Amino acid sequence: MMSRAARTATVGAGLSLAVALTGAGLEARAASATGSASATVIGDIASLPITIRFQASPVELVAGGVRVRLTDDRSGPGAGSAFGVTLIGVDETGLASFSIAGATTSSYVVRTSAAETSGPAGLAPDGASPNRAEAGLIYPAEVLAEGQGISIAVSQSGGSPRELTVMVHYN
Amino acid sequence: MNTTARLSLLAALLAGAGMVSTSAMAATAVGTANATVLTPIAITAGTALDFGTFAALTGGSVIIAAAGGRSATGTVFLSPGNAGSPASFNVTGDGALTFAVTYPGSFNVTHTNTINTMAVTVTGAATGALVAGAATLPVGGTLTVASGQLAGSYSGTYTMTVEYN
Repeated sequence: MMSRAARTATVGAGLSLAVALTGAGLEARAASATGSASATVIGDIASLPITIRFQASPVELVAGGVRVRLTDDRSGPGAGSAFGVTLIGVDETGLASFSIAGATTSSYVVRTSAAETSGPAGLAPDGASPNRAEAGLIYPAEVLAEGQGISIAVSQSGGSPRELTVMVHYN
Repeated sequence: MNTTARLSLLAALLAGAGMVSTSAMAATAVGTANATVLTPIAITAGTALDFGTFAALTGGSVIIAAAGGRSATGTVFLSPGNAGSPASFNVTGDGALTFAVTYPGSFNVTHTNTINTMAVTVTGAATGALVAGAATLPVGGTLTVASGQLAGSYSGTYTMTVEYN
């Protein structure tokens, strides 16, 4: 005959088994995993945009039936090299060149205002042909060495004054 | 009938009655017991949730859809140089069972300076179904970007849980 102590031990073992089975059941029904998330924020040195006004002076170019008029309007606060962007010039094809100041090797992006340009435009590093793209284009972040510039091609149809805002960001 | 004969007859009757009584009081049958042991459900992280590269300007949010695609609100400027991507998790388990997905609450990704943060919420399907014991769970998210958010790389982790329905 089983003693009282032996019966107690047996019951205890049974409860332990039940608890263990319950725990195993929960583990089998659910599982977790840890994922990761990341983001990269690009800095903004040109806190104020350079505004290039399409008007009669000082630059007016006609190339390929497209008239481009540019004025480097940087008379407001933050004008000059502190902007980090300098307008170098515009060639006969309407390609406006800018230089990026202040950075060593850096990633950067350029945004032009969509509503203020018409027709295709493109951006490319110095020495490269701009990709043709819709107005309001974005230039992908790429490495840009200090002293190098980017070229911005802008096409505009019609003669009414318009504005093109160029903003440069880099980290 | 003499006494000896009477006793023999009585003994025989008692013995017979006993046998009848035994077969009428008990019976047996064979039953069956079945059990199905489920393959435990498991989940492992696949690709990471990447919000890509962007400029904060005056802030807003960056949204990565679970099905793919990136958008922004506010003045956040998305750079196409790195368009980001949704996360994926690999779920394994039993046959064609369905499972519920539990997403974490808001968590932070932290700048490499360990100080600056951005809040993230992850989203996706509330349930999933295994096909031949496997399923891929895509996960998107929304990143809240503050005005003038400090430039740099941010990263963080979060926990996803799946459970059989």
